[in-house]
Amino acid sequence: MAKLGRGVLKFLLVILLVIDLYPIIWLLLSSFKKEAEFIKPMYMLPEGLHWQNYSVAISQAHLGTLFKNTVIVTCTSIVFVWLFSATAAFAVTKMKWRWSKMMLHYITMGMFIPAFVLLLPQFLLLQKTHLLNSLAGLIVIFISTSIPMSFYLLTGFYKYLPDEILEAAVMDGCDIYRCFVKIAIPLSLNGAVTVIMLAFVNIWNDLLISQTFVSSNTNKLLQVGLASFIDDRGNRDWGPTFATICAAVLPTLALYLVLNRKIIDGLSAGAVKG
Amino acid sequence: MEKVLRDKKAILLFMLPAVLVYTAFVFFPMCQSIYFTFFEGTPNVDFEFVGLQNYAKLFHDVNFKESFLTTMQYFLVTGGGWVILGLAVALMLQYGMKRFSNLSRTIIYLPVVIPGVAAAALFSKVLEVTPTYGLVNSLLDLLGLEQFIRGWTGDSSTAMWMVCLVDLWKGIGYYTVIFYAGLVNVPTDLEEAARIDGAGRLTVIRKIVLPLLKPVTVMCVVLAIMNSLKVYDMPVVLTDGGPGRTTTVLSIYMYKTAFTKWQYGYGSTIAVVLLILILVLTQAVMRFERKDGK
Repeated sequence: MAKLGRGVLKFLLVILLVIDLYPIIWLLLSSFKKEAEFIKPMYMLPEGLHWQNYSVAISQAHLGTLFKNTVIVTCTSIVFVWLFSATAAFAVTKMKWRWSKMMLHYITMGMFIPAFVLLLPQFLLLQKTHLLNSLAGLIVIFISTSIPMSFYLLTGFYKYLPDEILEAAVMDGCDIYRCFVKIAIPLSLNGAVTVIMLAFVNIWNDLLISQTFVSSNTNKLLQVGLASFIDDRGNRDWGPTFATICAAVLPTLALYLVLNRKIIDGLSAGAVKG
Repeated sequence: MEKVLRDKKAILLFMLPAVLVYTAFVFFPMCQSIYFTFFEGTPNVDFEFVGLQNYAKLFHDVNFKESFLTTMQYFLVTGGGWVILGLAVALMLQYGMKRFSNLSRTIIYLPVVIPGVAAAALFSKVLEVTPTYGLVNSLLDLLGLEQFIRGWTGDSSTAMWMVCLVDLWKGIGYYTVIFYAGLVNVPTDLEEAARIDGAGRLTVIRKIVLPLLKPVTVMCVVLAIMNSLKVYDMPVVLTDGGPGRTTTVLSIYMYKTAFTKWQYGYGSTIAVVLLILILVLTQAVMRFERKDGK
């Protein structure tokens, strides 16, 4: 009886896994279909590898520019997000000062603020500082909105850093800066990876913020470009459309497949400790 | 040791970058948003103080009420689905598939990392009906179920359900992974003790595992509330708030009011109301946890 129950569970899970994977595999396969193949039923396999879809996508959707912009914005932002959050989290958890608790709550509160509440004032602020429509403006906004979550996760990781190690270092003559760089950072590498990955995925996948603050074609980001491409040509050029979607998906997918243990473990750790 | 840890200059240096950026671009803008709700017009051009008029306008706004209900539907169906189905899948993983659990978790979490825009674009093709059948419709055709073929995202009776379902597909993995982490931490000796005392599998789950999972459940519910109420990517790309206004959730309504109609004051009001809704709901959930004294 128990065996039957377990069999049913396995079966349901396999169905779920198929539902999770099949659309993505279908996406990949369809991106290689020639235009004429789309008259045939959708679940058929492609007849060959029609790479032209990708070259059309690159030229018509300006994938090169979109990619370049998104890479610049995302990579710059995650570096600063980690740096700023790590130092602040260290100061709040390991150092002793009167307002550390208050600062913890102050910054963590930002996690509850949804992005769209800030759009209008941020728009006006960027306008005033002439950062509207620029990659730098996007970077600043992404850094500020990613800090609360990263800060919160890092405080969780730093809390588990044993104070004895820091004490031993201080006794050996380390000043606080060396303590941070030589001890805190190496010991919390797991936390750093989790935070950077989370920030990367959130920024790379973002639509709302990148759409609001940049409208010029030279500075557009990938997801915004994808959305307008779908709007323009979604109904006609199916092949290039699928190729563009693939291009938007591939980086995060690849990163995920390489680092998935770290990401899932980091998320799980944060959930259980927090 | 103490002196090192109290080094004021170091504390300042460590805190300043984050605090500065956060205050200037998050905290201060939030205060400004609330301030804006008492005005109407375009800032720096013709902003005039209207007191609570924007809030009064909300009560009579049919569009607002419609968007509110749409958002609530999304919150209950997708938000609720995330938590309940996420837990169910985590339980299935724990009790049904221990051996391949890592591979399963990787596949289940996969849709979460896909950009919302890409997922919406992908599924708009999956659900397509003209000019050719998309994946779903051609499979229905294959199985001889032609009567079910329809324009899933173009039909006002099914459009919102499609948005809910696609986002459900995309988000379940996130909650499953969190629940699974909590499940794995349930001490096995407790379960075994109950089993020895004669409790069946389901009873063990109900009386021991679920209560021990409470903190994780609360966290998931809070996350689901936040994520479902601020949904934007999916309905915008899949159906652009349509057909008509059937999928215009509050965030889309706010965006269109503020950035296409340039009604900054009213747009801020919608945003602030949504913020209050999120805060009220999350506080209620967290208070519920504290009340049960864990």
